[in-house]
This record gives sequence, C-alpha cells and structure tokens, in this order.
Amino acid sequence: MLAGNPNVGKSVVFTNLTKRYAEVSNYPGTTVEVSRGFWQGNPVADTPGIYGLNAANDEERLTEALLGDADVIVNVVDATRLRRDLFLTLQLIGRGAPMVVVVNMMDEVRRQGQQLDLARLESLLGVPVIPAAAAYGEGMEELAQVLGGLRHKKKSGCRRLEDGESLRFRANEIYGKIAASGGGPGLSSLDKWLTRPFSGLLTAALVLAMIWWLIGGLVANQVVDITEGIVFNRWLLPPIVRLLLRLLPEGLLQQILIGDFGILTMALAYGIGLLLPLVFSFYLLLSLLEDSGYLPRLAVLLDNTFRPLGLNGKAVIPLILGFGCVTMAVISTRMLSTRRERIILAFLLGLAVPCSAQTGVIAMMLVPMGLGWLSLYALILLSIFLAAGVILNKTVPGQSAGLFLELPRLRLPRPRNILRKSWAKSMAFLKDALPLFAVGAALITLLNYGGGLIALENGLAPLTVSWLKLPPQVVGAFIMGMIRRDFGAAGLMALNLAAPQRFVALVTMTLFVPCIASVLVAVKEHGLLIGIAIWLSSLAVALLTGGLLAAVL
Amino acid sequence: MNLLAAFPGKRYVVLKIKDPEVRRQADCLGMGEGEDVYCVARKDNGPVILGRGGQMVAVGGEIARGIQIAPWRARKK
Ligand SMILES: Nc1nc2c(ncn2[C@@H]2O[C@H](COP(=O)(O)OP(=O)(O)OP(=O)(O)O)[C@@H](O)[C@H]2O)c(=O)[nH]1
Ligand SMILES: [Mg+2]
Repeated sequence: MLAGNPNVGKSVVFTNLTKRYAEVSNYPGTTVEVSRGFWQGNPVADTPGIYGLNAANDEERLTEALLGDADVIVNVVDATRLRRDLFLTLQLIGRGAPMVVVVNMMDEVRRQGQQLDLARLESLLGVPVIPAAAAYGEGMEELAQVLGGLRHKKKSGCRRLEDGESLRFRANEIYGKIAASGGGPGLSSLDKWLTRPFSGLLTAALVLAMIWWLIGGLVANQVVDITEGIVFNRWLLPPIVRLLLRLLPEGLLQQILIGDFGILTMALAYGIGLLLPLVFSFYLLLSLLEDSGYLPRLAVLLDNTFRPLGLNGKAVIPLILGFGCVTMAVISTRMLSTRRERIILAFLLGLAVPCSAQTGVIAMMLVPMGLGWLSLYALILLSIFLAAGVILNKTVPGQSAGLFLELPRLRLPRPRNILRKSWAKSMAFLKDALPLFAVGAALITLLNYGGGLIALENGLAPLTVSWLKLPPQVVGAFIMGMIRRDFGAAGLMALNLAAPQRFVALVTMTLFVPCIASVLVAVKEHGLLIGIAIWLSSLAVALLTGGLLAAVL
Repeated sequence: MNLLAAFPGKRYVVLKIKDPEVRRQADCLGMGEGEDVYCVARKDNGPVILGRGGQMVAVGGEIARGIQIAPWRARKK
C-alpha cells in the first residue's frame, strides 16, 4: 500500500503503478477515500495523506487499519519537504512491514539546486530509498524492481512507537545528516500578490469573471450551438426519429423514446449535446485552479470571511469543487477537521452552490440578459449563502477548528493531468446523470400520457402561477429539477421565458433541492436526518426566495 | 509574544502551542515547540504564514493567538 504525507504525489505513483487514474491535484487532501488497483496481480491501495500515525482523525485511523494488512508499504515523500516527511517515515518503519521510500519531486530539488545524500538516507533508515519524479515517470522502473524483491519478504515484529517528540528529534537529526542546510525560499512575489487582501480579491474576482465569460459566452454559445444545434438536432436525431416513427406504433413507447420528453429527444440531447460540453470545459478550468495550487491561497485570503459562518478558510476548497460536482464536494468535505464544519458545508453546498452542468445552463440563459441581471443573481446567491451560513453557525452544535493548512508550492499545471482529470470527471458525470435523466424523462412522459402532468400543473398553479408568477408548464422543469437541478435548468431553457420570469425561475432552480446523488452522500456521511433537513430546507428557501423575488420584480 | 505579533521576514523560535491537536500537527510538520521558523506573511488578525525550509503553513487568527514565540536570537544565549 501507498502511504505518505498529503500532497507528495502518492496518487501519481498509484496511477503509474496500476495504470488506473486516481485524482491528482495540487492541494493537501485530494484523496479522501482509498482507491484500489493492481500491480502485476498484487492489490495496491492509494490512501489519503496523513501527517502522522496518531489515530487523531478518520484518515489516520483508516491508514492505521490498512497498515495492519499491508504486505509492503510504499512511503512516498516530498524531496523538497523531507524534514517534515521523515517523521511519518520513521513511524511507518516502526510498523515492521517491508518498506520502500520513494523520494518524489526530485525534479524540483534539482531545480532549486539543493543537495540530498540519498545513499546516506538509505543506510540511516535501513530501507531502500528511490529517487523519483513520478509526474515524469522517473524512478518508476526502479520502484517496480524493488517491489518485486520486497514482495516475498516477511514482516518483522512491530517495534514500539516512540512518542512524538523524540521521533521529531530523530527526524531532524537524520535530515541534518543528509541535507546541506539552507534557509529555503520565502513567498514568491506571485504568492504575496495572491494572499494580500486587495490584490488577492481582485484576482479572485477576475478569475471568476473569466470562468463565467468563457463558459457562459464562449462554450455556451459557440460550442453548444455545434454539439446540440448541429450534431444532435440536425444530424443525429432526425434520422433516428424518422426510423423509430416508422418502426414503432404510435403510443406510449414511442412517446417515451422520442416524444416531447423522450429519452432520446430530451434526456440524451440534454445530457450529451448540451451539458457534456459545458461540464467538460468547466472541469478544464477548475483543474487549472486545482493543479496550480491556487485554492489553498484562496483559503488564506478568505479565512476571516468564513469565520462568521462557523468555517475556516479551508472550506473554500470543497466549496469550489462544488461548482464542479456538489456530490463529490460533499465527499471532499472530509478534509475539514470537525464534523460540525462538514455538516455546515454540506448544507451550504446543497442550498446555494450550482454544479458545473447547472452553472453552464444558467450562464447560458443569464449572460445574454446583460450584466445587470447577472450581478443581481450573484448578489442574491451570495447573500443567501452568507445568511444561511450565519444561521447554521448558530444552530449546528459543537466547535469549529481554526485554520491550520499547509500551502503547496505554486506549480505550472501539467496539461496531461488536466485533460485526464477533466475527462475522468466528465465520464463520471455521464454515468451519474444519464440514467437519472432517462428515468426522469420516462417518468414525465408517463405522467404526461396519463394526464397527470396537466393535473399537477393545475394543482400546483397556486404555487407556480400565483406565488412564483411563472407559467404552469414550469412544473415539468421542476420535476426534472427534483432529479437533478441541471436537468431542471435545461428544462427551463426550453420554456423561453422573458426577462423577470426567467430570472425568478433561475434563482429558484439554483436554490432548489440538491440532486439525489448528493443527498444520498450526505445521508451516508451524516445520517438520514441531516439528509432530509438539507433537502427540505433547500426546497423551502428556494420557494420563499422565488416568491419574494416575483413579488418585487 | 504570540504569533500575531510576528514580523514578516523575521525568524522566531516556537515556545509553546496551546491547542494539543495543533501542537501534535505542528510537531509532525517539523514546526512544533522548540523549532525555529520564520514569518513569511501576516495579516493583522491572521492568518499568519509560517515558513521553514521549503514548507509553508497558514495559521488562522485564533490558533495564532495560542502560539507563543520568541525572536530567534534569544535562543542562542
Ligand atoms: N514537479 C513535480 N510535481 C509532482 C510530482 N509528482 C506529483 N507532483 C504534483 O504534486 C501534486 C500532488 O500530487 P498527488 O498525487 O495528488 O498527491 P497525493 O500525495 O496523492 O496527495 P493527497 O491525495 O492530497 O494526499 C500534484 O500537483 C502533482 O502534479 C513530481 O515528481 N514532480
Ligand atoms: Mg492522492
């Protein structure tokens, strides 16, 4: 199994060994669940990064449990932060399993001109040491060779663990022997720029504006015009529809496949023609943020802003990931240190953070309406986010922790990783979304066929028509929104609403209930009660806000 | 003095860390009690960015208040 400090490149090594992609990003806490794969028929586990083996949090307990069964430990360390990493290395050696130390990021050490005596390290530690630059494949063959040899070695007995202080003392001692001492670099000027209040906020605003402009302007218009407008609506669908019209008798089945809410004509066209390009380009941009090391800087910048919400700056990382996929973000809230913060953030993610697919559609509908509406939208969502956070901070019991976060070095993102990650996440999106879209489409067709939709539209008219001042047909979109908000937003697009109504509908849909998958994850992490509470409170806030807006606008 | 009084660019030695969980983590990082660190950047109420070697850690205001430091030179005496 792989073990090591956070952000040292364990997942890169894992991908190299198993050829299975594990998510790689430049912030501590990327891997929150064990990923498994195989190397030459032997199981390999990639674990979340930890700083020590003290059973102090879930990750450490998890790693501890896995260590018991591990035949070989591959301890990945960051060559530029060896002094830190040796602490865990010594603890791991104490476990007695055959072990190899991969000294990763040697490329950065060379660039900094630092000297490391790795032969000396090997003799001091008494386990094989391999210099590597996993991101460039360096050292991976050597690792394979050493692993081949270690596989058959027996475990020696567990040595008694020393307490923290003397371990630290020994780690420092060893480091002193192998490294020429140096002061180390301070903050680069870019780093200073990013963490200072004024320039930092300016940059953050610019980054945000760029993302919206690229997605809402460029992708939503040019790219989707091609994928949905030409590929789907002109090339793919017409022949299929013609064929099925001929093959299938008129009736329910035909409606389910190619009717107004058909699986092919609506679910597939939305999922692949409209949403996939939006989602993919969104992930490309998010990956740039993740891989550059920008997110932890943002955490420093926003730490004080988050405090009234019962969160610390670290929360910004899962929050931003939520703009990719809320479900994955709820899982990555595990990087926060207290359960209280995780619950607060799960609520906020479910309520006020639209995922990539939804943001794409919303940007597509809002950007043409002009800057005024766009700013109003941002303002309303931000206020609700902050208000909800303050209320949650008052109601969720327990204590929040302060910020204590390692800053990774700023790095130039590697295009290969950006593409691979965005691709993997987009495929995950399709796998998640398409079946739900299909079920949702079939459901609505069935309702429509039996006259249930009309009945619902009439029955809910007090809510939709009188309260939200929207046409009764929005019921269809909101039913889709119950399945997934992005699906619902796409449904709104088909309605061709005019300015104030379109705005009300969009705000309501943004705040609307989080998708089924993310509620299930919240239930799994925090229990049924919290899941239901998130769902109901989102519904209530969405309808309340929508109605108030409708009355004012 | 506590960490919030540190000056960017100056070296300090960590004397005492109040919060036990933070103390444990800082020790794993090699920035625990007895280590010398330098203040990389600081905002008035935090966070403070501490450096040591090639490492950097951002410490929020409340935690920084619970970390006692002394100017680095003092240790030499
Ligand atoms: N320059 C350089 N960067 C690397 C190397 N290996 C990994 N990285 C980068 O280091 C960062 C962290 O890599 P990950 O594989 O996500 O690290 P991890 O140990 O799995 O991190 P956690 O899952 O957060 O514990 C990414 O930005 C990688 O691109 C290397 O050999 N050289
Ligand atoms: Mg990882």
